[in-house]
Amino acid sequence: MLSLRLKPLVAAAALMTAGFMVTPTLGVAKDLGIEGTVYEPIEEDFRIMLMRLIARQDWTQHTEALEQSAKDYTKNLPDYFLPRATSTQTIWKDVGIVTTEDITMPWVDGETGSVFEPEQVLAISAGTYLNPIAEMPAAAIERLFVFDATDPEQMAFARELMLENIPQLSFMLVAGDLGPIAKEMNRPIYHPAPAMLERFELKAVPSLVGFGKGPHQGHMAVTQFAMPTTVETVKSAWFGLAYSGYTPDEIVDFESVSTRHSPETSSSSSDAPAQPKEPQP
Amino acid sequence: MSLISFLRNAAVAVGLSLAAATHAVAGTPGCVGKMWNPIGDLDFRLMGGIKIVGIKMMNAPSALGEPPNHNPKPVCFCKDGLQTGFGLGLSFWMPSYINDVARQAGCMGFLNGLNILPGFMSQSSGQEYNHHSQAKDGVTNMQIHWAYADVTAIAGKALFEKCNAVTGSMQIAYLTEPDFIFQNDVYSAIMTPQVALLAAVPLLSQMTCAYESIANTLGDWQDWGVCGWKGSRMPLSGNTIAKDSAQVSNMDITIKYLTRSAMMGTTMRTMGKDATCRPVYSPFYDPFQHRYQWAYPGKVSTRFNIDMIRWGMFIKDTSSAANMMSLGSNAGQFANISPVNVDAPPSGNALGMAENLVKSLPKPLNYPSKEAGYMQVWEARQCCLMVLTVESVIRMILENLATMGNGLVAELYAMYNLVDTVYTIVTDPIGAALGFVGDLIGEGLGQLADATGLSGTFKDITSGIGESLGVGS
Repeated sequence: MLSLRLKPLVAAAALMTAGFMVTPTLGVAKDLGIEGTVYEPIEEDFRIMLMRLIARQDWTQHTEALEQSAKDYTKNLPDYFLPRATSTQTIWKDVGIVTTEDITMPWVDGETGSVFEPEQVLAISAGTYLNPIAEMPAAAIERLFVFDATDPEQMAFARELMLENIPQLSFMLVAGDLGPIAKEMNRPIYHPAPAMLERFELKAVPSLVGFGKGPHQGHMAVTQFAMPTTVETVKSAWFGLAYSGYTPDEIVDFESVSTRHSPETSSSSSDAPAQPKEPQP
Repeated sequence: MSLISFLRNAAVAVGLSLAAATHAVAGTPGCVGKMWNPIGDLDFRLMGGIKIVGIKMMNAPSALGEPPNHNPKPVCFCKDGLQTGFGLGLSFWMPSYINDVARQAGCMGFLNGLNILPGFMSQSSGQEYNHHSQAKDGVTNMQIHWAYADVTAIAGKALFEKCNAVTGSMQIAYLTEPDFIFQNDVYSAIMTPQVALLAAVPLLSQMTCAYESIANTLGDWQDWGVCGWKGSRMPLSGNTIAKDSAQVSNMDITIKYLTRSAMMGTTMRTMGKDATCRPVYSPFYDPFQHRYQWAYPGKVSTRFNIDMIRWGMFIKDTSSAANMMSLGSNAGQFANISPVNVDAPPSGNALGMAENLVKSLPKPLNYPSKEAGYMQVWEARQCCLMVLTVESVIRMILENLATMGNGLVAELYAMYNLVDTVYTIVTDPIGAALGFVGDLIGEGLGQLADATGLSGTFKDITSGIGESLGVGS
């Protein structure tokens, strides 16, 4: 039982005081003293009670459960069974967003303002296109190879890729226990966070998350590989697979582009390459 | 509780703490820690901030305060099967989580230095053990090990089960090491592209966070949703600019983690009137719903975006320059200098004094960046403490039918009137005074409900009715 109740007499005293305060007559505030007997609370202090309860508890089983859940953590991560890729193709995605309303931020006048009541100033107006990787060299961004560790063929190919020690290439599995693989290969193996598969257009495995340049600056290039595939094929998809009108090897990285693009779009580019957007002046 | 029994329990607690401390150097090489120990690790003063029907029952710790949103409906109605009914709004704090901010990837400091991810060593942090030197700012990356540890709910099951606050689980909730988004700023930015918004107005973003930090340090409750402790909250990764101290860097990363966790639905909002019955999903993390209490090796507490100078015990006067007397003297010289007088910019002398002042600030100890450092995270909780539920009404009706008495019908009607009265009183503008009446009525309601308890036979009947109606209790 929560020991939170007040003694009736204390409550009565409080009511009397409150009544005095709201009386609509002018007067001088003064201590009216205490009427009747004031009792000390007989209930035990809530904090002491909880400390006592905690001290009485046998925590061994709980700490063991905690330790076991740590040891089993990678084993218990959810599996996402994505289909095997049936063709080798790049899915292009513009990762930018367009603001739908004006965004304001606080501002305090140095002379007359107060941090407790900041003013609002317009930071970004509605309809602005924002792309976090628009002005980033595509080659500088890490690539991610995504595979299904429960598929022996994909696992064997991922091992082969890991042994290549390709700079800027990390590995993420969608199914299987990453713990033993990370230990065996002595490198981090990742697992998709919630909503990552959707956001990164990962619909089939194995896939490589790459980034485009030139007309595809600011675009993500997710390339799916039909098995069997080769290390060279994966490397060739670093900036997305080439197609007519897009030959990444001939494009200098990080060409400045305008921030005025169309909103987020998604298209496929291998079999039927999308028309790349022209950079706006 | 008698003094003797209190001392006896305290002695048990100390004994257990010492037993745990003897294992402090255990663990795999390079990964050290201490086994989490709820008896010694918790600072129970952080429980302060208990209210029922809006009436304060236990004050919040003065350095932390009570968030204005921690305010359930005074008289509440919740739908939950047979537990549907009226109750009294209760707000309190629970030590719900362990947050282990780890320098070494895979190293569980709070589990005696257990390394569960030996392949992840390359993610380990280069965070320094002490204050960063000026002009040597760098990026720090840390890993978050988040665990459910509803200590009080487990120990005081009978206390908290009426509040649906009993999880009974002790388990790892999330490790950031296998999460590529948390490791990589660019992927994090793609996941939450609103980061580009802040990048587009960098000066404004910095100013926002400066205002917010100042206001909160001075006792306000500001959250613009884009700030960490002193800098930007974006991107939502495990990286931060180590421009202040290891402690602030670690808190920055904790806030980033929790903001993302709220977006993913793994951290629920526990404050506000709409969260009276149960925590609700909100993609916007309210950083004031948590109190952060370092559990080991020292107990230091803070809340969102309070400057570390106000944390307290981390501060240690270690150097001869850090003399509190000279600090006071230096600070006094600033009395006549206006910080907002644009016509008279700060002189070289004033800037020199300011530099001396900053240099003489006591340097913080760096407990949290040691592998054994971890914190207990207290969560603001709310509850509709049920006094009249469908189940209790069914029980009363059944008893009335069984005994063919008629007194309970009258009592039931009286109880309805009481609940209605409570509601009217508490919504009255002079509720602060009349709330006491509400409390007395609540007490009366509780006694009335207890008085109508049923025997085991009738409990079985109510269960049968519940099942036939397809409603769970």
